Amino acid sequence: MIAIQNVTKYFKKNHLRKDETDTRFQVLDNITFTIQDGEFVSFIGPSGCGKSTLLRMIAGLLPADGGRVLVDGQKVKGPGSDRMMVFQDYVLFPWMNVRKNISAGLKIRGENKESVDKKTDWAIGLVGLEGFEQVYPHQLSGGMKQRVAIARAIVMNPDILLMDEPFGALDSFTRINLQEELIRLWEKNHYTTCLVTHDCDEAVYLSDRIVVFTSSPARVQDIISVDLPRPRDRNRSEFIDLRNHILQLGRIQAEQQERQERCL
Amino acid sequence: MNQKLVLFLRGCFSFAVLLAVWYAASNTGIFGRVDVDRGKLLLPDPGTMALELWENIKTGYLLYNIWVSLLRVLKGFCLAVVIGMPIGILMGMSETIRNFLHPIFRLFAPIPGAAWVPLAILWFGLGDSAAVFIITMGALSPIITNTLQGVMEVDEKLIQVLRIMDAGGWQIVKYCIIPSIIPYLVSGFRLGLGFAWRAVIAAELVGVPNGMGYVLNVGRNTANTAITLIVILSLGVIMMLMENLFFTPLECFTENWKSKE
Repeated sequence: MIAIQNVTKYFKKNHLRKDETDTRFQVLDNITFTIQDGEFVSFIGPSGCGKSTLLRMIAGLLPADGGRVLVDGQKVKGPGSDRMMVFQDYVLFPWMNVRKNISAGLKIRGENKESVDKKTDWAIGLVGLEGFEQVYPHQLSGGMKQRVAIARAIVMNPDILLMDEPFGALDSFTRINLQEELIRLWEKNHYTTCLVTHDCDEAVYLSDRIVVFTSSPARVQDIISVDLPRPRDRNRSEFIDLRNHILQLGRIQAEQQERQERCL
Repeated sequence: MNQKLVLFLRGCFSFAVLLAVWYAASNTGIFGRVDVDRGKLLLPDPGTMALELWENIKTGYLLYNIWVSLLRVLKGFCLAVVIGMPIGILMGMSETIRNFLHPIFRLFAPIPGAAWVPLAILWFGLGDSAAVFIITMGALSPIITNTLQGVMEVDEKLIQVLRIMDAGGWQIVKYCIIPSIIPYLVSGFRLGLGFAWRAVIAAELVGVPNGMGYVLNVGRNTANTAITLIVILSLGVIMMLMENLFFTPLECFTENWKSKE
């Protein structure tokens, strides 16, 4: 279980106006919610609202300034391979081929060669990268790169999968393909999954629950349960209604944000 | 015709023209500017040079002195890599170390290797240690600079990925820092090696009693233009060989993964 309790986060301002005395601005304001084991939760909100920051805090890459993040009752103190992360821009090792990219984590963990090979084969099969083992990242398309990144995460058999807009840079066909594969993987292995996205369709298609954030600073605006049977049909009226509802929330947000920016 | 053959023939042509001009200059008293005899002394023709070269190869004199210099350069250069690379990596990875070492580095980096020659002779006497010291001092700063720059430009997110995988400091260096900085190391090594050769020639010209710089000096003192020219050309050949045997393969290695976008 992931428990986010009264989490607050500030960032340093890059450019200070003359009349400003406060050198930091608030990114996250008193965020509280919990994620159950095996649950698929999406974070949605305007871009730059701080949802990725929250994800990084769960990963242990950023500390909280107030409140705390608990994983299975333990305070998160730093990153660990029980919480693997997938990035929007893949972040593969350019000097390693596909196979070496995927097996790097196992080698770092110090597993023996037999176990490394077995698990790597399993992960390669799971994401459909057979035949691409010896290929280098720069020779792959975006969708294939993201498959490598997903394989690199699941090969470590994490409890939690953290995904930061993983399909944001992909074309819509590839995106839908990978969404379906991700759900298949999740149904098989039931990783607790946190997915940051700004795509309402993606959030409704994938998630058990959707956390909707307001922007600057981010607060939890609403938590929406998606009680639609899987596999989900994007054309069902309930699906469309839910998607439109979230879109509506987002639009109100965006308008407010724009008005605020105009006042400044 | 294949590409390599064309390149080879083109190279042959360049050298043929060079040799022809050289021969003409030598046998016409530098195109009539000096007496023919004096011209032959100032610029021996390629045939004389070839004979002199053969004499010096036969006695082993030339190869011995090349070997002495080469060994010095390699010793000094390796020492510079062994000292410089870790310093560069540490400076790149830790802000504290960087802040501490940077002012010192800024002071020492621009000092030319040859400036250390008198001090080295005072400290170590006329011999191998002095030469190696000078070479190391000359090669150190480009190696540190380039390593540091490489580490500063490592993709922060790759390190985050490794930290998520529970990688320790050494594993981060092995899996990410070293592969990332190879292109920077190649240019650092290239510069460093150039500086190392400059330093060794300077040291041997001034007093170290063997090596290529020493032969150059002897050639001047005995008015043997042929041997000085041979040593100068050998330097060019050695640098070319090092480029082809060492740097080109290293660069090819990075071509494998460097994005071609």
